[in-house]
Amino acid sequence: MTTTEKLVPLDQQEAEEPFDASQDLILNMGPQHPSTHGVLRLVMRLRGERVVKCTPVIGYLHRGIEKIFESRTYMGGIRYCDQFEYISNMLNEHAYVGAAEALLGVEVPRRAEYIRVIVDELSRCSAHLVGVGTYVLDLGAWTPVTYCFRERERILDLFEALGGSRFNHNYFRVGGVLFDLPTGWLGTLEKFLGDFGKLLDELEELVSGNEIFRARTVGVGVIPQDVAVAYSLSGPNIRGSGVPFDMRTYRPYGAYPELDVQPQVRYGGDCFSRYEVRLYEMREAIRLCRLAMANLPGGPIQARVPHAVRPPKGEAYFTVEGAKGDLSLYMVSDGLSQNPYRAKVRGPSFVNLQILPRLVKGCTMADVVAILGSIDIVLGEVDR
Amino acid sequence: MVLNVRRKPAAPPAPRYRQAAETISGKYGQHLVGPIAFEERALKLEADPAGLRELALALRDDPALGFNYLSCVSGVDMKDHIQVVYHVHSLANVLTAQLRVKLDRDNPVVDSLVPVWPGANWLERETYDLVGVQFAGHPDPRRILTDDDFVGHPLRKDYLPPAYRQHGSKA
Repeated sequence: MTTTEKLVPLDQQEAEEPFDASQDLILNMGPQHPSTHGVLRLVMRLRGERVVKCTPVIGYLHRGIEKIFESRTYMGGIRYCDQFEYISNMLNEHAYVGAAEALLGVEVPRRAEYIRVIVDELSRCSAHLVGVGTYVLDLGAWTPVTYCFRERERILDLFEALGGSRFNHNYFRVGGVLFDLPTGWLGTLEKFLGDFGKLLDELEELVSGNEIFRARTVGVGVIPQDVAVAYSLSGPNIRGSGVPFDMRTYRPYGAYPELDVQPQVRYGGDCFSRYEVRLYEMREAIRLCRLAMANLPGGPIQARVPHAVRPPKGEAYFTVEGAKGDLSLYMVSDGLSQNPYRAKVRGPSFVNLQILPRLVKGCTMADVVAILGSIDIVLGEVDR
Repeated sequence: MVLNVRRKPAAPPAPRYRQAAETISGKYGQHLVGPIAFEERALKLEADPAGLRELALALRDDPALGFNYLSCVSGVDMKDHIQVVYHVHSLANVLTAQLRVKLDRDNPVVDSLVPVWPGANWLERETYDLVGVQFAGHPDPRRILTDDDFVGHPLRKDYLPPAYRQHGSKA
């Protein structure tokens, strides 16, 4: 895709119009608005139905997770990873333990890596189901969200059988995973994957061809390719703009180099492309789950790691492909303490959200909801 | 303490990283502090704070490097200084670089990289908010995660949280 728009640095493009009290209206959307997916507040200046300026205000859910990491041990911090991004918890845990393992230099058993791939992909599915379901709900369709949440319940049931909790799994460990797969779990998973493929066909038939849905998403909120890269978008947002940037192939980790991952790319750059990338990533996740199940090796699920994890002095940067994009952890160890000296979370939702003021400029008020939903943010991770 | 851990052997960096390192140290060596270090999949550079923006522009625009994607900005309080760490990717050449600047702890000021990578906007605001690094030339230098009237920078090591009040305590 080529773009005619020239990329202007952000400090030069803010030549905004003066406030005109006779026709401008300041509209506050959120922080309790249902279509802001949490506690996002948007202060918008409207002229008629058009948005002149939009200022996101975030931080309502700030809990200081990075500060908490500094006062918890390496093993104790895993449990907090479930809480900054509460839709795709397993992926956050993977980023955290991956950084700790890189600091420690520990080699993870292959069976654990394959189990991680399975739960990662299931977690990605559960996040995309919420993303797609609530997105079409924002645009006025009631039925698909019930389908999505029905299937998501089955994924949560699988996680419950695996680790004992439905939402805050606390399943990953530095050096492996907590429990091996229970008896019969793989059979249940296989049955679920079969049904899930059928649901995706149904969902696509119901949503993708829907005239109202297409009218509200095709050509709306277009992000050109160079703008997507310059604004550091990641995940389905950048792949919807035609950039095949997927951390599973760009910086492969875990068992992903042994599996043939095919990033889903669409070239429209609009809301519909981003929706379609999410839908087809779920199909890709089914394929990867089946591939990992077929190649699942035997052996231990946990490397020999001391109870008191105390890595040598150093720093590590570990990246996973989260459900929303490039989810990275930069972890620093001082070599003395059992706690991370610093653990910085690079949240994809936080970085993806900053393109919103640029995208909604000149759009109608109704398009703001469509564009915000297509970026697919989780406020727990924006605010951390 | 002897760690009873089976260590993964460190893999050598790919040849393209060596080529990139030679390009950087050959052309833009005047902005660097110390030699370029390698990780398995990253170049580690330390930049002179005064030449950070020139180095960042060169990293982005040199066709042999092409670091066009800023991934992460992290501020770390190292007690005697503050360091800001940038992680950048080159999507065309499949490279990752870690760019580090060391700043004076009492007056941490560094050039903003928003004109180079617009995605740095909120990441730098967050670093200002939590670690207290001032980014000169930032278009919107406000706090982002905490309140506008919040006092202090929580991720500084000497930050004291407000007194922990319990029922019946005098604190």
